[in-house]
Amino acid sequence: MKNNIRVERAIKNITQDELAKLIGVSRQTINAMEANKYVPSTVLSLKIAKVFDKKVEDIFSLDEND
Amino acid sequence: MKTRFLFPHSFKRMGWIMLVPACIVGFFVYTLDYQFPFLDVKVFAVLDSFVFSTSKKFAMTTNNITDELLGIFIIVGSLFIACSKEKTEDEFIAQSRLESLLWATYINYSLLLFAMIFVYGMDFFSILIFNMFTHLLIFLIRFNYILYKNNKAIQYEK
Repeated sequence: MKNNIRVERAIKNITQDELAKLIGVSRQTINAMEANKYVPSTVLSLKIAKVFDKKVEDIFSLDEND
Repeated sequence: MKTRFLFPHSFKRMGWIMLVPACIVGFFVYTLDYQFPFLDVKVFAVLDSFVFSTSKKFAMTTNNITDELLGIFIIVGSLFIACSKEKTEDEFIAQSRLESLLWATYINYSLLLFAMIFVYGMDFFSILIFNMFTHLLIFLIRFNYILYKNNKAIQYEK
């Protein structure tokens, strides 16, 4: 699964640390998601979408391996 | 995500305080084959048997509890470290923990299988003793290495 968390974060101008605190996870988790090393749960995806005020599909999308 | 069945974060420190001294003392007790004389005590045994004596069931017996105490400290200490929450516990850490546990299970039983095929006699008995602890110890090494690697990865990010 691909995501554009890094881009959304840049638009909103918040750091990994700030995003982590907003959704109640560690900074390592944000970093792992941005590096496509971790696929978040549905709950976490919805929380991220809520922070950026977008739909989940606008942030996460399937890639060719899924 | 709520991670169930985990101890509070403070148990981690308590675990290290139990594990590290027990490992150091355990190493000397094992290599020197030493027992602390003041730990000769009467204990309740569900089962107790030796090769050339009659076996007892549900009876009092005398035993030196050096190795029992060390074993308890190592196991409880490792469990506290392995099964306590991280400072910021979340689903990614929970997944890393479970993956490390799977990894440790494979490694531990590979080593045991190797020993089963190639090690015999008293040496195999020694390996069985160590094997009681290695699963959790290998897990701790692996899990902490993953945490360290993730920590290292965020140093280059903003």
